[in-house]
Amino acid sequence: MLEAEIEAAAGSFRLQARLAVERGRTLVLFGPSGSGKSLLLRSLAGIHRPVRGRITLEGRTLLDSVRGIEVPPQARQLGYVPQSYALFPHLTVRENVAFGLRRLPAGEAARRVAALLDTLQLAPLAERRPRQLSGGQQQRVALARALAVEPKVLLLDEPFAALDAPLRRLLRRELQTLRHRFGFAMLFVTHDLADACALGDEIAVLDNGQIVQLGPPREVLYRPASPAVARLTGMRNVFPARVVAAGEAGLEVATERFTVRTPPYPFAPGTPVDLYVRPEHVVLIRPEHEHDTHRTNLVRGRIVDELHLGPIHTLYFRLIGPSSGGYQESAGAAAAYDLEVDVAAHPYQALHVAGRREWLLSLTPEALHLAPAQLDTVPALPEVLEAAATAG
Amino acid sequence: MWGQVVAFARKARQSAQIALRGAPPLLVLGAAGGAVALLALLLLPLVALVWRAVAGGALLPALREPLVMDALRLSLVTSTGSLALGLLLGTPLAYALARFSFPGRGLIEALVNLPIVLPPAVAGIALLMAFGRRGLLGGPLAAAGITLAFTPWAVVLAQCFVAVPFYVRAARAGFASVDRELEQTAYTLGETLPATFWRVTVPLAFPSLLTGAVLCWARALGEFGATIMFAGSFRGRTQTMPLAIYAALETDLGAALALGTILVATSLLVLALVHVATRGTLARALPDVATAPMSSMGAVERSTPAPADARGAWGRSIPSLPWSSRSASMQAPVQAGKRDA
Repeated sequence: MLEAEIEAAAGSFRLQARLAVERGRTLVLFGPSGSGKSLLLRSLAGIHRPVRGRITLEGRTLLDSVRGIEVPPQARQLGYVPQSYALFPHLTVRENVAFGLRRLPAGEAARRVAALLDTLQLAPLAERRPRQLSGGQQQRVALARALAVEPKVLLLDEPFAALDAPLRRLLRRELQTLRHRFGFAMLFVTHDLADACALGDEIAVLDNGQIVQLGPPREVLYRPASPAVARLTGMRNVFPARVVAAGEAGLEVATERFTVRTPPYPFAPGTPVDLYVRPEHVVLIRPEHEHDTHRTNLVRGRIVDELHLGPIHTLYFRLIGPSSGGYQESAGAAAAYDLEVDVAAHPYQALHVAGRREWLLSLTPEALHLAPAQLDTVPALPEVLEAAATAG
Repeated sequence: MWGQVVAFARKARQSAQIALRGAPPLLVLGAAGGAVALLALLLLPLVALVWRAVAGGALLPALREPLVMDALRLSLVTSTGSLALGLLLGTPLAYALARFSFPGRGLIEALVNLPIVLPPAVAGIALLMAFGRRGLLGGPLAAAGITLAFTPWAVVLAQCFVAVPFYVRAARAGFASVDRELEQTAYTLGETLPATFWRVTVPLAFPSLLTGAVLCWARALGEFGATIMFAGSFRGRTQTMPLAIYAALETDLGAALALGTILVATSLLVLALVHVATRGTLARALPDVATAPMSSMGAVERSTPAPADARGAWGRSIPSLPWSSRSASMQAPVQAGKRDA
């Protein structure tokens, strides 16, 4: 198990982080560029000296600024793959992979290198130099070289950043296989949500030098701790809201435009909250089916714009009043759109979304998440709801 | 061969036509004349020297004269010694200048660069004031029974003072051009700093190191002003080839011409070496296979075979001549596209 508590600085940038990865597990450091992911990784690897901190690896102290312990990078038993791969350009693939094995008996080193080249399907490229390799091949050489010294933890800095989509997908799966096979713990830096979800047993969301949320992918994805995390994890719809009623089955929450029922949350009626709606969990329903749908949390909206991302279509909806209140356009029409909805290509075609602009939207309970109000805008509630809130 | 010449001439005319469009003909003519005059100034003396040395038939006999032999031997020994000393002392300094920031770094760099612009005569008299019999350090040294001035050691010191900065500059630029991340990655692979230096940094900076070493040696070989003031001109002890040329000028022109011819030949060799080190085979860039079809895992066999000229070449060499700008990256991998030319 790798445990670390680190305070590091680079120029005026400050990083403060606390994390732990268990053997055989993967922790993804997820965040936008400049959030301190790489700095954290370099501090762990020992090639950046933190201001203060403590790192232990399976009971062994690697860094303790209080006791004045600092194990050099050579002795940390951490495998490090920088974003540039840092392959030695003057050495062949084989020599690169063997680089850290100089102290091993020659036969043993050769065996280990051959086995790794085989595993990573690099054997036919063994005598090439890095410049003669494609990006994906270079990536695999860097991986093999780091694995050759049998590290306890593998530190990967944006390993797929320079690769195209199919290759990313392939390498993601391959990395999973490797991890199961070698059993190392992994710290994986990325700004790609798909990477983070595909590989992370846990995701640590970094923003501006702080870990703002740490949890399993589902939790980070569906229970963002702050609007910043929501923004980073593609939870693109956030509404300032207020709890109207609370019961055993759930809460009734009102925004300026609509009222929805959510799963239970520990909020008392009247509490201002942020209501998050995951764009891929909104269900489109034809308006004429309003009365024979079993779906709940219906709101009415009109598509004002759409974006075709290939397998996914993003629809931009403007909401039309509360679904019970007729077809009046809502007052806050200044916003170009109110709600983003992601629809996969098949339902988009099957429902003939392209040919119809007005829809009923079901904000399914699994699409919703409540958090203590952190948005700047205080919800200006319709009078009726306001009265209900103060009464509660 | 002829086709290449024709193509080159056509290309030159084309680029000239574009560059000179609208320029006053008189100005163009004047500029061209000036260039020709300058080139004549550079070439004519060398031709004259070699012509006189060879035409008189005195070259080979002169080479056997004791004066020439002594100077040759002494020059070879001292300049090589200066280079060795420079490599030994200058390499760590160059690496520190390239890699670490510490107080006074700018001052140290200025100090290292100073001899390059300082007149050698000033270097000579300054060395005398420091290491001469009554010099700052020479006094105590003399008391301890060590005399430097007017010995072969003085020759080496003078050459070092003048020439080693050329090596340090080139080496510094060479080390700086090696991506730091490569060294750091080597550390995480368990390699110590000295081993990393030897296995990663030196091979990658090698073209720069070679260029610097060759220039340092050449500058030491030609050292005159500082040597004659600090070491004097004693045959067999401190009279190097340039000093011997000066000494023989009045008495034995043949010997002077022979020595001069040897030095011209050596200089040409040095230029050729630098050329090879900076843009020849050593720095020859490999074809960029990144543009080749992305062969993923299952398809590795399909990817392009290694080109024949792949051996021993690495593309990142960024050699920098010491008199060029501080930034080595300016001359970066220019040669990538010229490989087949």
